[in-house]
Amino acid sequence: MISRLTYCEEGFSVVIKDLNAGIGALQNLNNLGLNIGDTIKLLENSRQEGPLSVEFNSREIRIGRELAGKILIETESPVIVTLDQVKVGDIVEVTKMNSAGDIRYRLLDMGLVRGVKLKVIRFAPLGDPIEVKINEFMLSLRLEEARSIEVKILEFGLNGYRSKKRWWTKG
Amino acid sequence: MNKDREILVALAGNPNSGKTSLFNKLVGANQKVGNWSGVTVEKYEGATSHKGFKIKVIDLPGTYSLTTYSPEEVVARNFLVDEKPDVVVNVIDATNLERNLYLTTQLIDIQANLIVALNMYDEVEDQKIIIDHNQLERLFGAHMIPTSTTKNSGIQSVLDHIVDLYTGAIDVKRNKLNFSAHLEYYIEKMVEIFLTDKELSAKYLPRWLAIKLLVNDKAVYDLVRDRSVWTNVNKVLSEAVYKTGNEFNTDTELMLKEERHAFIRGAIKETVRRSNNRKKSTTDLIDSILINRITGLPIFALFMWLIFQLTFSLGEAPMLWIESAFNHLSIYMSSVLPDGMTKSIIVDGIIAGVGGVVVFLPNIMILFLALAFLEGTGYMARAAFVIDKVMHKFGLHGKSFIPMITGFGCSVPAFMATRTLKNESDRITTLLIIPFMSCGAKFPVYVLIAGTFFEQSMAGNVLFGIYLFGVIIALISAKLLKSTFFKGESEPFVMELPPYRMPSVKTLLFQMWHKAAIYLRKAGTIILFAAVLIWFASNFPRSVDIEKYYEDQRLMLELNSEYDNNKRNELKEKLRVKELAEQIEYSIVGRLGHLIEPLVSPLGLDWRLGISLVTGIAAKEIVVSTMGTIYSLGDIDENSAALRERLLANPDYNQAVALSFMVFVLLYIPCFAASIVFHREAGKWKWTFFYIFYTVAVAWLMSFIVYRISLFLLM
Ligand SMILES: Nc1nc2c(ncn2[C@@H]2O[C@H](COP(=O)(O)OP(=O)(O)OP(=O)(O)O)[C@@H](O)[C@H]2O)c(=O)[nH]1
Ligand SMILES: [Mg+2]
Repeated sequence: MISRLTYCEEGFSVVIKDLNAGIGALQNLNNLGLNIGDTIKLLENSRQEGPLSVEFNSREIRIGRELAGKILIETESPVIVTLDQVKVGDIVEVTKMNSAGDIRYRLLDMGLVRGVKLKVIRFAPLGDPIEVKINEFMLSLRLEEARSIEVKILEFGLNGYRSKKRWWTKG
Repeated sequence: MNKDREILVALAGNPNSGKTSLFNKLVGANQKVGNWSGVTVEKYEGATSHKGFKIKVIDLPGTYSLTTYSPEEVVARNFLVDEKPDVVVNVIDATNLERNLYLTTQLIDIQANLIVALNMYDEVEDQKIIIDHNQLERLFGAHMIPTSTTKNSGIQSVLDHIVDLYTGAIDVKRNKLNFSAHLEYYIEKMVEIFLTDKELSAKYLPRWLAIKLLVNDKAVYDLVRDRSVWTNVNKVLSEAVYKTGNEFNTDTELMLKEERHAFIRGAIKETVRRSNNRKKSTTDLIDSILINRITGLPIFALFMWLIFQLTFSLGEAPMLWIESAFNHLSIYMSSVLPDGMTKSIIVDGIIAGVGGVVVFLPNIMILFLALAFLEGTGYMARAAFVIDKVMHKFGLHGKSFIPMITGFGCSVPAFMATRTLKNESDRITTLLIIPFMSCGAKFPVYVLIAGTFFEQSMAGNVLFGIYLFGVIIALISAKLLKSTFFKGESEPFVMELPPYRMPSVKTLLFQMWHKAAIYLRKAGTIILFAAVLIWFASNFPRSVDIEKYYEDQRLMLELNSEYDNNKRNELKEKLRVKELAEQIEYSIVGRLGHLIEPLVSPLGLDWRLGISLVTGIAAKEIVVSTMGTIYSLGDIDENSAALRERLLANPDYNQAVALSFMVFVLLYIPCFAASIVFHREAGKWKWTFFYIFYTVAVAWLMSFIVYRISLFLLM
């Protein structure tokens, strides 16, 4: 399935399939010496913040998190991330709840159990908290809390990516 | 009325499912309804009669489950479990069955006489959701009644069912929710042991106790751990925990909760059909504008600004009407009452004191109407969502924002609104910073002082600056308190964003009127009382010497033939004013003022301003009226040029003094009534003392700093 570079595990090699962004981002990618179709190996991905580090042609390249989130890659294994890592539009399934204390009870009682599907609706204007749709209601929680919920990505929100055929991509 | 013909009914359900709306419809009450979770924080009761029965209805705070993790949940659970109401009406948001039915399964566990009100059925129909309630009824073993409080449907049916269930005309099917064989095995085993404890099992259902122990319920643990059966129960429990971990690689709590949700999911699959049209709902549409990444913050700021703008601009005209009404009243009273003490008390004390407060009624009403609108539509929850990150930076909770905004109107409802904060340290911190949100009653003080010492064009900015200064001090205080006394963990921010709803005009107007009534009652009680008290304190004791001296002066004036009548009256008036001023210095107020002068003189304030601050503890409106009295002009209000002239004429006063005084008024303790509410909400004397100390200390320190800096800059 198609995934994002930011979701990848360290140590895996992946092929850059496409960019879910405008021409500016492609320019940025090219400036790093990378292009669509290249195979890269992920060396370092903190999963939280800071740039990622990849290996290409036995050279180490650092990619900003912002850009890395737009790089689409192909992967076989299911993508498991914590809920603070997701992007708007993603549809995910809860796989594990690591929260502790009151918040754990509250979330479990509200239905955040294993197997439940969430849709990422939006982030607040300042980037935190996050709003997700669970069953039929909208729930907002801080990234801090979202971090302790593990989810499997079922569908990527590509910001209308599929409908847009861009003239600058080859082929 | 026959005692056993009274039916005790509890309304239980998730937050924001419409319990209070149903309560209001059932018993004809007007309790507060709002479109966000946690409006009701206390249980209250009402009564109605139906088919010859008296029905006592209890509205409970909303809960997601029967656990005891927050104060309001405890209220609900204790009532349901310990008081065992005759009938429990489980109010459900039927557009949201997955979440709402979870509590229902728990109500089944405690074997409540259950009626389920499938509320918001109008929305269910709008969304073209089809619910097979007969099948749902069979699965849950509880009567399901579609209701809509907005469309007023199903209410009678709920009443009918309550009575029928009570009389036994219809029965409860009482399905029990079966868990997996693995869990049931341990539940059965524990039940067997519990049954040997007759006393305990008579009071609580053994099955419920067993289930609760499996989910680590602390309150139930406390109930049973001192019983003699505990050792045996504990053995089974430990085994269950061990085996579950070993064989299923999970824990009993998670397993049980997952099974509950799975049961509900199965039931819904069987009974609910949703139409597939994936068209964007109105709520999605509104939200994509109101809280999107780019416009979210500006719109939030705009709304807040609008509230203030409306409060002040729309309030202006009615405020002037009330003011002139009181003026007329005062002139009329002066003309009909004979000169003397009674007249002075009524005109200078009561009318001036109470009138000064009632004048702000329009502003208060507009402010609360605006807040009720934001709450009723559902924007308030969004505002908390938008601003949470900022609040979080200062150690506050997104929900603290609602009480803080309310604090601009009046601290009393603001203090009460802190109850939606579950966490004690969040709540106390918010309570402690609310006084810094400048309340409506302080407004006249700023108008008087800023208007006197600053040019017209500057006065508005000074006013805005004062409000902003308050907010900044509030945020810094929060950070300070959170990193010292209230280091404890902050409550996690988990909040539902309800769909937008249009609040009914009746609800809005009622909420506004309710607030207005409270305000007027305050004016008619505490402020009236304080006004009379201050009148006495500034008139007594009287010095006979002073009186005699001025008596002689007046006599000499009469005898002096140099003056014509006009001149004589003018001089007489001057004498009267001077006498009043001297008498005030001699009175209790004057002595107190001189007593505290050393405390306020470092802030540039003299005894007159100092005593105004003291009387302002009763109510901030009294600050202005006290100044009026002290400056020998009994019935001065903030628009009186005379008081302004007198203030300006005083060589000791300047802009630095003015700023210092306003800052002090902004920051020190709110009125007496608010302090009582603070004590009730904080619950402990130590917080109340701290609150008094902290607000006064901050006020003093900030005044000092502002005074010194502005002396340096302005002079
Ligand atoms: N469309 C519709 N809205 C309803 C209905 N009943 C209640 N509401 C709305 O739902 C919101 C919540 O109503 P409340 O009665 O305050 O809910 P509550 O269960 O008491 O909430 P808490 O006190 O917070 O637990 C309000 O905006 C009501 O106007 C209904 O039958 N239909
Ligand atoms: Mg309520």
